[in-house]
Amino acid sequence: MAGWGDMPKELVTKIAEHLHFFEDFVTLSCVCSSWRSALKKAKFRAFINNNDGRSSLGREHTIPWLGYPERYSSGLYYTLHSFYKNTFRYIKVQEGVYNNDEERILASYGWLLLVLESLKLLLFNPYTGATIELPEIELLWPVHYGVDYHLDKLILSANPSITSDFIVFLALEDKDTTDITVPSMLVYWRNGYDDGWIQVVDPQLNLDGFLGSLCRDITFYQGEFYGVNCNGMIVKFETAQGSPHFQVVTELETRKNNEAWYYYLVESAGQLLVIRQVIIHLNWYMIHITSCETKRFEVLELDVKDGKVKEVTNLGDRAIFTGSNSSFSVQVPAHSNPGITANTIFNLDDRVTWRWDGHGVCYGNTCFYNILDGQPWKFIKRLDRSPQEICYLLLNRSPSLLGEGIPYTWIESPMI
Amino acid sequence: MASTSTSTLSRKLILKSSDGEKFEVDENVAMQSQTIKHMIEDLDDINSPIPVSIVTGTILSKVIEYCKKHATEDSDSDEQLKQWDKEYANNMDLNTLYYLLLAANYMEIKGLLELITQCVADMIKGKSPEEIRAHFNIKNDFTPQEEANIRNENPWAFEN
Repeated sequence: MAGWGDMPKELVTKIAEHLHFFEDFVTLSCVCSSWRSALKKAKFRAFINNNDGRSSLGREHTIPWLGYPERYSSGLYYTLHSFYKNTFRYIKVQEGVYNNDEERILASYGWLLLVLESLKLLLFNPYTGATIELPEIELLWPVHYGVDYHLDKLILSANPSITSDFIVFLALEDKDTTDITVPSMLVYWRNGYDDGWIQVVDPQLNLDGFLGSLCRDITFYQGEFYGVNCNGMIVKFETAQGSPHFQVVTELETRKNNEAWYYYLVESAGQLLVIRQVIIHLNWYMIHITSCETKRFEVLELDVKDGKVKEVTNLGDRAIFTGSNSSFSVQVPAHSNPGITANTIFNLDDRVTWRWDGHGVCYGNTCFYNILDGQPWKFIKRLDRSPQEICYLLLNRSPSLLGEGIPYTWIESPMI
Repeated sequence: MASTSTSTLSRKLILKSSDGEKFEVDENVAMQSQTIKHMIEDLDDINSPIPVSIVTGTILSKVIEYCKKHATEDSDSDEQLKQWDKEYANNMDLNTLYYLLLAANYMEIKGLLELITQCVADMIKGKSPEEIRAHFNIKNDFTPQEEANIRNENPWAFEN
């Protein structure tokens, strides 16, 4: 009789390498003691069917969990929701951390950004407990030259679990304004270099330039970071040369009729994609309460050499995750689950639409959008609903529901 | 050029299973196994049977079926070969699959090992630990205490 439980350990490891989901990897180690000990030494690498050889080591993304902060009597927790297994995981945030339950979790490649009360910054891997200390950042000192900055975006050039050659890019912004013409403060730091954070500056001090409005998104593409601001300007940074400057790649339209267009940038299978979020303003029953709602998404491919864009009508087996974190693209394994579908943009409301909204009345911009069927598929967690119902609403493509605003972000599963 | 290739002049080798069954195969078929390749290098007499000590005749015939298909690269497209692989793996019962996995590992046939481990991984995806145990007939050998610890560590692995 065959004894699957007694299989040589290297074979258990080999099987595990074919799994896409961290949830399955963990399940495998709960089957029996032999498999468990085999997987102690195994690595989870979110097996990526990399036939085209285009993605490079340390830059593969994994299917993420929905993350949000919650405060309990025992302290601050980060709740991670798996659409795949419809389960929740709770990470207790260590004492002495400045982050609070109203701020979005910032994460890239599954590494969370924590601000200690000493204002030191840490990258924290919640699965291994590993930490990477980042240089102190003066901007975070309370009310720096009259501006109360807070951290807004974290983008890593590569996964620190895989390589020590990575750059940390941060966007900070003024906490007290809802004006999107107030620019972000952008800084970056290369791991292993002593010279601290380098602040991105515009040598021409151009108010209509890239630093003339809030930075909407930043992504790493072919060896360099690219950014897009709320005026549709796309630039290439010069972090590779250690320079604080940038070059303009192109400028895209931001208005058409009654629509407002905002952009995300995503590296996907060797292409630089520009995701156009089309938003319309809604007026509610009281004249002074307005809100904005995402009408649709459009996908463009940007040629960084000539700044030209062309429309992409099909993402194939890819899905794109956008929001306040760094946006990213993953390959969705066939027949994997009902929660995550291919050819879909999974957008979490971010602070730009929230600002545009004025009061943050409506979170109707958190939506999942299948680019083929063209209908934004809304979901929102209501405080009066049980966690299980989030998925219920998702699967039934329920219409938008007004509810309590929860600062969601996508948290990738770790590669360990 | 094809007429002088090694495949037309291919030597025959004899593989002998653990239960004594003998199989005559073309050298290029057998050479897909790294283990056999190394054995041939050390072999004085090419005509003597090569022992494949832990693999039974039933399993060895399946292994040879796979190697033969993958030794003739000319006729099939990648797509057709993938389809053939899929049907090949799907036609195995769990018991055969297990011994085939051990054989692919022992004989170091990379493609076959990838195929079987992928096939097993597909069976595991989305299942709970209990479902995996039932599927593969694996005994839960954790003590209740261990099990409780595992549950606390790994909420992902269990249904809420």
